Amino acid sequence: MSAAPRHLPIRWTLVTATLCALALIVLLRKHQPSYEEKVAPLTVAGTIGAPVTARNFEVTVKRLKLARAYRIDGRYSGDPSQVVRADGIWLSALLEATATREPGFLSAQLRTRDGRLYAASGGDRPKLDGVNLGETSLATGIPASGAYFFDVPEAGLEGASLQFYWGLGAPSGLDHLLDIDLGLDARALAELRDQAVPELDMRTRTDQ
Amino acid sequence: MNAAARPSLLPGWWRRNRGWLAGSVLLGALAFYLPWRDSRAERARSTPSHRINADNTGWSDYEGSGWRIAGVEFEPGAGKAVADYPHAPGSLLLVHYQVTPGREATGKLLDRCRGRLVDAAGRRWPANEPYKLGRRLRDRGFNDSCGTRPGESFVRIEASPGQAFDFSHAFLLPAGTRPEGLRAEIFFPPSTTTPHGSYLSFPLPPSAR
Amino acid sequence: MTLFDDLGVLWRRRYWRAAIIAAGVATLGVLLLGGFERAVSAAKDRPDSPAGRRIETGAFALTPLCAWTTDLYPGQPQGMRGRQRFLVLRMQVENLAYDWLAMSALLAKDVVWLADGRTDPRQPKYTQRADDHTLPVLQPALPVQVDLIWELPAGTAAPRQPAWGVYRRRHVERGYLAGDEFWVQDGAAYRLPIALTTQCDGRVQ
Repeated sequence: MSAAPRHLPIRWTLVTATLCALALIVLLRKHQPSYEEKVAPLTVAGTIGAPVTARNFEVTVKRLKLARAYRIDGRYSGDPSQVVRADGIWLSALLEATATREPGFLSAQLRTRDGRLYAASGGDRPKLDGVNLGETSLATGIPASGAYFFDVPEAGLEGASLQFYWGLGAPSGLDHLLDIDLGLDARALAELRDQAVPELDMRTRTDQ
Repeated sequence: MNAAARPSLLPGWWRRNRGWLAGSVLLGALAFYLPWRDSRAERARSTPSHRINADNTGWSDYEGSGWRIAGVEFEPGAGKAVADYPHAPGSLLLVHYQVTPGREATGKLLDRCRGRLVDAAGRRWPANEPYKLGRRLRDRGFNDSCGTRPGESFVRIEASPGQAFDFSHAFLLPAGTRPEGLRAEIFFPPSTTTPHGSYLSFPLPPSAR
Repeated sequence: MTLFDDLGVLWRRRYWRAAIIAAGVATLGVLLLGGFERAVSAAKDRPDSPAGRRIETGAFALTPLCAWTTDLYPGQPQGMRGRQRFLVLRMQVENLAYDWLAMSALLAKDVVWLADGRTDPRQPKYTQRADDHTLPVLQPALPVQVDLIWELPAGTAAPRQPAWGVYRRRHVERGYLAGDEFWVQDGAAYRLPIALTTQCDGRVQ
């Protein structure tokens, strides 16, 4: 690309500076944090038994229970009871939750040791009004006592942690995400499994 | 453009280039200021953000109508089985309002109003929510809409301009929360008010009980 | 040809010569890299997979179980019987991703009914769990039986040899524009010819 000296002289400093800038742009774009990292939620750690506070809610996880199926009331009065069987195993987390600033929904997910995320089962499975807090609107300042239910494979329970976040759907970026270590080592898990029942009776009506 | 390959900051460079430098400074500042101003306007359109302080002497003007609080009832321990989940009894707070519609305020326009209760720490309680609370208010004979009230055979009676019209807002407060220090607020959809996002805020008068 | 008459003149100019050589090199490169070959038709026949065999599409591991037509899809109230005929496909679905978000929506896009046996893909109208007819939440590594329901257009007979198609899905760790992660559909994977049965042999009905 050499030109005769009569024509435009090449400013090599300019060429080098341009190439360096281009290289720097490519390098920075390649190594910038991914979109999920840029808008990741802010994690707040906690443990079972102690209240953990986020920006606008507070949760105290009291204890865990395992079950393979729940027997619940039929949909209408007079209907026979239904059995809600888990695809894996049901883990229920009994807790107390309070919305501290404004009313809204509190969602939960279980995070296994290998990074898989399991959504809490929605309010319609198992349908236990007042107990299943999934998709239930919390009123400001009024504590709710209930449980979140997770349908998880048994292999994922060891080392799992429970995560809570405000709103429905996925954890919102740049908002608090409570991460509560469940303390499920091999011994605790064996204890839970011993206490697990094949079918837990959660009926409230006496006519079935 | 046969500039010599020498450093470009010759003496007098600033003076010679003052035109476009000044322009860049101005445009650069605007590039930061204008998006911020747009975000604030967008926030004003979507949430109540411009507070109009009302006092409890006489009528306060908001969106062309006059508003006042006629009375407050506080019932500690009466908030039983109101939320969507079993809970310990909370307290019920009823705020009775009166509105004198302006000439252009129709019942339908007034019905868009929403209410809330705010405390000093920033906690918020929406009016007549959860649903059971609104129903309980209506069962006690109070009107929960700001511009119409139920009449005979499902026809709603509208508020007439110039005449005081009653309505009430009910709130479920946690046990132990006192009404002193709370503020009762009324707002229309933020994008419809002038300026956007304005809302009326009353300090809560002492309750009747 | 007038197109090449000026070539001789241009060839003598230095920069035009360089441009002509560059164009020739580029064309040769495109030719060698296969740019001039006939594009592969999207409707090329995909391998068939029978009922009961597990297939993996990248995002899901699917095992089609059975299919049937009915007046009342599972979970529909009895009062709606007869208004519409439905085609139901039951499959066992395992989510191979690491979270559940949006996976049921992707499943409804990936499994299509080929209305004329080979083409005309149609997405299901409803997807629900086979046991309690609620919305399926596809938890990672947890196989679940899902019913996919299509509406049969009024007046058409039930297809005698229905076939479904399954698309592959590829995971992108960092998208180019925003650096986000997502699953993108990656072309047709399998064709599932499944004979209609009257019931689903003893499994959850």
